[in-house]
Amino acid sequence: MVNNHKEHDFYMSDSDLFSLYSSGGLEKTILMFKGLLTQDILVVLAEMLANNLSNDPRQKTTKKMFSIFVELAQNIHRYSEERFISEGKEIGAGIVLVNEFKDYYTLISGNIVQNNVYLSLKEKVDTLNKMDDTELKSYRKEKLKQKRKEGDKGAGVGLIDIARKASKPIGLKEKRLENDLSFISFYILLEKEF
Amino acid sequence: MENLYIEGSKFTMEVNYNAETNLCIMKGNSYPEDAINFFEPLNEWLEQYIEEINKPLTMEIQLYYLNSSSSKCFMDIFDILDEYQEDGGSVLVKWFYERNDDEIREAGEELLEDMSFKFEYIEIPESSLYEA
Repeated sequence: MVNNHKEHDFYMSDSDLFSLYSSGGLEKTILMFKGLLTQDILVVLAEMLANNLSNDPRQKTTKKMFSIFVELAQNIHRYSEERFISEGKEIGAGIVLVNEFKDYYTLISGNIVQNNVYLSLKEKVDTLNKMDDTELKSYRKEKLKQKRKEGDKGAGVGLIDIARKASKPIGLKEKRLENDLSFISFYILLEKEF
Repeated sequence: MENLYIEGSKFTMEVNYNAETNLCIMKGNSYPEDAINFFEPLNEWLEQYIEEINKPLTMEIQLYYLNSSSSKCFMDIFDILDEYQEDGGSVLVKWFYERNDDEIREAGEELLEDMSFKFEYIEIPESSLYEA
């Protein structure tokens, strides 16, 4: 197999790399990362993001951005089907992308899950997207008070927090893969507040 | 009983629980990958304090950022303190927040609003964010 590896397989053409480079649009990309989301990497990325946005005078957008980013990244860390062992711990892999536009930022995350995980996420997201601020607040409280499911490291509150901080409804897309797997992606829009 | 000290990191709080001064301090960021695991010794310490020491307890919390699973763990802590108060104990929680930091102030309000013990919100000047 290795011997059959041709040169042009390895040396991407200019247009291939460019299409990857511009895949988020040619907006200002603040951050693009694909790979294993270990806690160390997550901290570096989150801090980098916060420093990039620190010209925001009231820090409001920065705080929201930081929070949404951590929740998205920790979801990948915990729930991605693409998992590797890093320093003795099993960690999920995925992709995160943050772009800046004139009046807002977009945060996009993607990872592989089992089909049924997508379906239950879809149901959650649809429910959250229909709620107003007051409903989200009391739903969050209810979840905080609820007993945890055995073995679940998350609180079931991450998506609610994202929904409360985001400026538009949460976008969730699915691309079906083989073996009952799906590639899912979250789309979050955050308006700049001044 | 022994005091509990945990050194802070970029993503975990500095913890200083003292059974002689009856003061529990938590300070910094809280977004560990496994919040339950981080908070477990804190809850165990509190349970032991209530059983063995049983004095008026003050808790001071000064956060810059907390993730959703840490919020849930704070709810667990406050539930323990709530029960202590209802069983005749005495608890005061001081929730610090930096000026203009509505996120942290609101996070505290949503966690503390129904609790039976005393709590106060204390505004402090802004510092450099995220550097605990």
